[in-house]
Amino acid sequence: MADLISRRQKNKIRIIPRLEIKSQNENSPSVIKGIYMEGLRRMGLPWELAQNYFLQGADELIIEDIVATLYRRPHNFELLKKISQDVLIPICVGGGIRTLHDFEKCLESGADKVFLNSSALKNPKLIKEAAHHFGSQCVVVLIQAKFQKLFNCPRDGYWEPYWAGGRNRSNRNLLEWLREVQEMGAGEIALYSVDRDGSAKGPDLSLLEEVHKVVKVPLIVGSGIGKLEDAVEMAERFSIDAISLSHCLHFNKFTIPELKEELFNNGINICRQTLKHAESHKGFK
Amino acid sequence: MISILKPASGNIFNVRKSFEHLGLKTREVSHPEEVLEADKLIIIGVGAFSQTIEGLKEKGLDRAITEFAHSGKPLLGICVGMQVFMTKGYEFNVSQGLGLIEGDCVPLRVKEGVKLPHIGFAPLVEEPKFLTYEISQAAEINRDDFYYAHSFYCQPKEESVVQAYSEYAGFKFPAILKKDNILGCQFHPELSGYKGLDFYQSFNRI
Repeated sequence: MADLISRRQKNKIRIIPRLEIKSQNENSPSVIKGIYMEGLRRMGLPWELAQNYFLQGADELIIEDIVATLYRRPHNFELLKKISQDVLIPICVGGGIRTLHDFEKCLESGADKVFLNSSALKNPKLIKEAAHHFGSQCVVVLIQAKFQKLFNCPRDGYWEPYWAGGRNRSNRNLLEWLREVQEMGAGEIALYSVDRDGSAKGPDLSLLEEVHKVVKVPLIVGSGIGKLEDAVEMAERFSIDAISLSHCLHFNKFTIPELKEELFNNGINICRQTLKHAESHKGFK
Repeated sequence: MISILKPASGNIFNVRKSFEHLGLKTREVSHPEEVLEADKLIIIGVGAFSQTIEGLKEKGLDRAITEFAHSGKPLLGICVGMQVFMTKGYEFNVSQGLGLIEGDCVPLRVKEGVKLPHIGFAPLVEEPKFLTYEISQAAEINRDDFYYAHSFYCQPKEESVVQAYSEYAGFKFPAILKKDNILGCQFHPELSGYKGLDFYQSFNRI
């Protein structure tokens, strides 16, 4: 299929680093990275990582407050303003967004899009209200999917959306949920795998196989990417619009310029750029 | 002073941030008098054409903007902000636009299987003459493209109004319109890296 359409015709795949942030208070926020969404390792200061990725050629950023839902705490808007200050690309923000007011505050603090996960599962109408109020291109529904086995048989099962950072079951079926959120007016869907996240052991290709045809809006996928080949495979085989990365970038498995070059060399359309200090990034153009 | 108007939805924060990077002061306005007083005016907008134009009509801003446009002072419309400059918008139903640029706002005509909205980056097919790229050429990173998030585009009656085209999945559409003192861009300069700053600077120099 990919061969039939020339590179010019294909939509550009966006590269989106995802920063999961845990902040005790304004004075000690940190980007963290867990494995399978658990356990935390401090990676660095949020605004420094954000700036670094922006200068490497990230197309967008996803900024996630990973404890807002868990601790039932409001989002840290001052931190968001600081992170977005020198970043001149779109930022998608979320984690604990519960009301339209939260949504608006994010947009007023530097976010261009806001994602909903836990609160959408509890109240899907929130998606519709946000889309109506702010426009659907501002509304991203983020889904953390976990495979549920049936009858102890590894192949038999279904995917279920989880909430609160991959902790709680929603008792929904992923495919039905995908249909519902699109009906409600989600502008984009960001899909992650609780089973693979932070593992760098490769993305869940069977999950992508299952969903990519039912998602009619732009689809961002992530979790598990460890090698450049993983990203190439995802982009070649599935109808995706953006790749979200965290572990592999935070742990320096490769840089964004290296990733874009690899994708480009494999016939995948990406957003190009020139880097002034290409040597330090092993960039290309 | 550059005045920025947000008729319905939109992210004014990031537009103001861009001008801060350029060392230029901006202020947010919401009343017709403030619009008329402005030295330079920017209309931002995301979401629906009809919602935006209704938002303008509610407060008499449609008349104020039209008057401002006729004054000859620089006017910039971003995304839906530009779309409402057109005569008509064909969204869920037909809406009357401001009619500052003759033409229509119509849906992107993409092939089956191509997703909407168009969300992402795309380059200009040809660089317009009035755009200078001082900032992006000197910057750490110089992106090729500008950022879009839209399902509709502007089709002006006169081709000469189109300064630059862009492209999505093989479909070419006007990206920058200019008619005298009126400038419009379908993309979001504030989300388009340093090239976006160059665009805002070019507007400031009109």
